[in-house]
Amino acid sequence: MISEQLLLDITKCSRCGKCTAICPMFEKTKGWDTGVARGKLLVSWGLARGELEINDKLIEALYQCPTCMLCEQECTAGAKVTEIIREARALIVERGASVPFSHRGTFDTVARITLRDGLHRDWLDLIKGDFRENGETVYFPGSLPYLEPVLDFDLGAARIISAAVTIFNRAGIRPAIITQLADSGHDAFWSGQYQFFNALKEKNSRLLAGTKMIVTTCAEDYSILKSEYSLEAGVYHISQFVRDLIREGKLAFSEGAERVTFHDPCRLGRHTGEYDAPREVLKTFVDYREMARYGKDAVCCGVGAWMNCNKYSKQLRLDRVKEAAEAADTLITACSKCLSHFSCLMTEPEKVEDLPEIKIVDFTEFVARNLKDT
Amino acid sequence: MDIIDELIQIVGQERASDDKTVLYAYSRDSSLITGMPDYVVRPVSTEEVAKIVSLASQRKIPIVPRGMGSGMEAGCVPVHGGIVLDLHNMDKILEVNTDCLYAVVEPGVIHANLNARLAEQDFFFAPDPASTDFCTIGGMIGTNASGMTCLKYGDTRKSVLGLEVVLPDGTIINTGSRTVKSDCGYDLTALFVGADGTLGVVTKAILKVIPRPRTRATVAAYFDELEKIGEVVVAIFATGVIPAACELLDRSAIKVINQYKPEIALPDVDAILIINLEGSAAAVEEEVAGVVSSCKKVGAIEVKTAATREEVDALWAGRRSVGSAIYRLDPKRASPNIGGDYGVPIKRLPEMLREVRRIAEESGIPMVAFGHVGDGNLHTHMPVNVLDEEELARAEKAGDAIYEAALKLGGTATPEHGIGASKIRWVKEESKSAYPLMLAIKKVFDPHNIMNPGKIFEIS
Ligand SMILES: Cc1cc2nc3c(=O)[nH]c(=O)nc-3n(C[C@H](O)[C@H](O)[C@H](O)COP(=O)(O)OP(=O)(O)OC[C@H]3O[C@@H](n4cnc5c(N)ncnc54)[C@H](O)[C@@H]3O)c2cc1C
Ligand code: SF4
Ligand code: SF4
Repeated sequence: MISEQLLLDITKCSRCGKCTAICPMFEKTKGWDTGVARGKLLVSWGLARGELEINDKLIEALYQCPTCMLCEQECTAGAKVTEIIREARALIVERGASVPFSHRGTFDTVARITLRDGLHRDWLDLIKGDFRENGETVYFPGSLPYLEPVLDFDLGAARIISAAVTIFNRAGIRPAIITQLADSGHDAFWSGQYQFFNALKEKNSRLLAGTKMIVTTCAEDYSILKSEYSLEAGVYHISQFVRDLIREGKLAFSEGAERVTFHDPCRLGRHTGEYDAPREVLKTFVDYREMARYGKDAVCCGVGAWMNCNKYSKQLRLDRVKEAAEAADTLITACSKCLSHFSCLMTEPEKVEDLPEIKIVDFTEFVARNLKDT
Repeated sequence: MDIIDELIQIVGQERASDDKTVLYAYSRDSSLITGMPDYVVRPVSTEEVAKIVSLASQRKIPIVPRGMGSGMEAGCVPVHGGIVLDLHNMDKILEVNTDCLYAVVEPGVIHANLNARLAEQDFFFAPDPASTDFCTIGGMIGTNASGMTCLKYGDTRKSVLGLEVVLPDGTIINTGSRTVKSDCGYDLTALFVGADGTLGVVTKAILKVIPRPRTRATVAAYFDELEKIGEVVVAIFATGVIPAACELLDRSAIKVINQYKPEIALPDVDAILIINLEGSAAAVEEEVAGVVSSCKKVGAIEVKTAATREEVDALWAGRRSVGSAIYRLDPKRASPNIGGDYGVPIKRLPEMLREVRRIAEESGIPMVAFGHVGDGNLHTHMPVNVLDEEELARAEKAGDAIYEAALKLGGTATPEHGIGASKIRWVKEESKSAYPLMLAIKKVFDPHNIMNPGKIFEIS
């Protein structure tokens, strides 16, 4: 369905071209105007008005964008770039074309499987710590357990989930890990598969009814639960949860001399506005350094929702890791996807020229690793 | 052979396209006018450009140069189809010679990137469109772009020393030289500047660069009567000062800025003048004193010399954002370029602004006015629902009324943004007896009218 508001929203793009100077993806492709927000919005207009048919280039134009929101943040005219792109993707999906997922769409398939009840959740056996099956305080691991089997490197899913449980336990909480929870639907939503997203949301909302607090370790899960679900429970990213525990004096850390920097996932930063919590936490126990581009100016890891991983997104990632290596010895991120993309890059030193030496560590795992007995 | 195959042969598969989606992305610039190209190509060298233009010439199909497409008058929109030459990949700064006051660049160099490079040597390329971060030198040459500082430093034409141009038949010529002065016959360099790509494709430019002023100061003066604006500008000139910028925000623009960035907190007055002074510390100090006293003499309610860098930056950021910030006022309305760029003799500015207010009232279309009053150049923006045909037509009529009023006051409808496809009518009306000569010049360069047809003139 094409709403008049969608069309009016597209007319908000003045086609000034400011985004050509901002979009990190366009800086890499240096290609056609379809590679920058302005072109993507014009293509969305053409699609919505029936002036363009779906073809490969149209799919590329609308999907080769991690919806990092950098252009939208800087757009003086206030064009809702990412929302329009997502709506245009929904039109593509509605008309039966397939989404250009990476990894042969396996993650999409896995998310679909989580819609079904009664799956064998043997990953739970790998989790260390004290948790329960139900309760008011929920830890939401999202798709983390399912990423690893598909990726051919060690993402540390079990370690991250265990780390989250450890943090809860240190604060005297036995979190609930509700095994039947489905994928958060972040990727379904951002790929324009609204029907599928609604099914995931409906299932999760039912299972989360009556809970009071939900903590996620992944920025994508956090942003989608917070912005697109209507949950009674408060939704927190683990960095906010840990920050509050520190403020309450419930956690203590062994201080380290390690130089550490933080990569702001776009879903945590620009999408939901949380820049401070992870920094406040890290600064309590490490030698914290900023990268050249950080906070609202941070550049994306290159891929959003497992779509269009290609040579350009890999270049973005490499740039980001190099930027981190200039500032620190360890790069922390707080999103399972950013972690996967950066880790993937580091697994191929022989294929990547000038790959810097830097450790990539998940925020939750890093925090838990440095906890000290109170 | 098909044209697309020939284009691919010239630039390779990656940089030539006839894909509908790709073409569609080149069907517009910052104006409302649309036109679908048949092909888009991204050349990277003069040789490639020359081959593409030769092909277009043989096949008699239009060729449309395009920089970053930030133009506001549809200059790069292929209104008659043909090949769009997307030149943004020709982005090399070829030579910087500040000792001899010049730089040589390819046309796709972004203005801000050139100035960042020149800043390393404390030099700059003076014309300063607000689109600095996203417009190319080629586009600036095409439109003879200017900006807030052109009062002191002149428009693009004043800063171009020489060009390499691919003519419509594919031959490559050079004009001008690497010297600041050149009287070598007719000034062809100046002719290509502001030609909207109708005479040839610029593939290289020798630009005049100058040392950056060492000191800069900003004065803001508030007025409760618009009438005083013309007077104050004249009073400033009378003190012997040529400001580097002299910008006006009228009541409507002040409101927009305050809505968009409340932290700037501009006062609720009829008009604000923002004046920049640049030069040596001693000269700037003297000029500030002259400007402050001129403003007071004419009756400014308050004159402020911005104390901190932040204050100065906030004021200028506010000024720069007006045009686009209007898009944020109403969820249903955009602010396409309609009646957006005109100029009048400085003393007649208050009359012009009163006309704008009258036209706004009569048309029922709210208008926001601001501009470079130091050179009599004003901009108007109107929030319009572009899906509402009646409202759009009303706005377009109001836009024409603004240009008519400017001409009646002895001004121009074509001061800054070039002509493109949208100001053809005004070129004819304004140039009057010189018009046939301009047409004749076009024919000398481009007898088959393949070079950006439908721009400046509509030749049948
Ligand atoms: C927000 C905003 C602010 C602006 N502020 C200003 C301002 O302050 N002052 C001002 O003057 N303009 C301004 N403009 C208008 C525009 O940015 C300028 O005219 C700019 O110079 C156009 O550059 P471009 O690279 O985008 O050119 P395009 O829009 O791509 O092309 C403009 C014209 O130049 C021709 N052209 C491009 N490259 C070549 C070439 N290599 N050889 C021959 N012809 C060529 C095209 O055919 C076309 O006719 C503004 C626009 C926007 C959106
Ligand atoms: S998306 Fe925003 S920045 Fe990009 S062209 Fe449109 S209005 Fe300009
Ligand atoms: S959201 Fe990010 S990647 Fe997508 S167009 Fe905007 S800046 Fe580029």
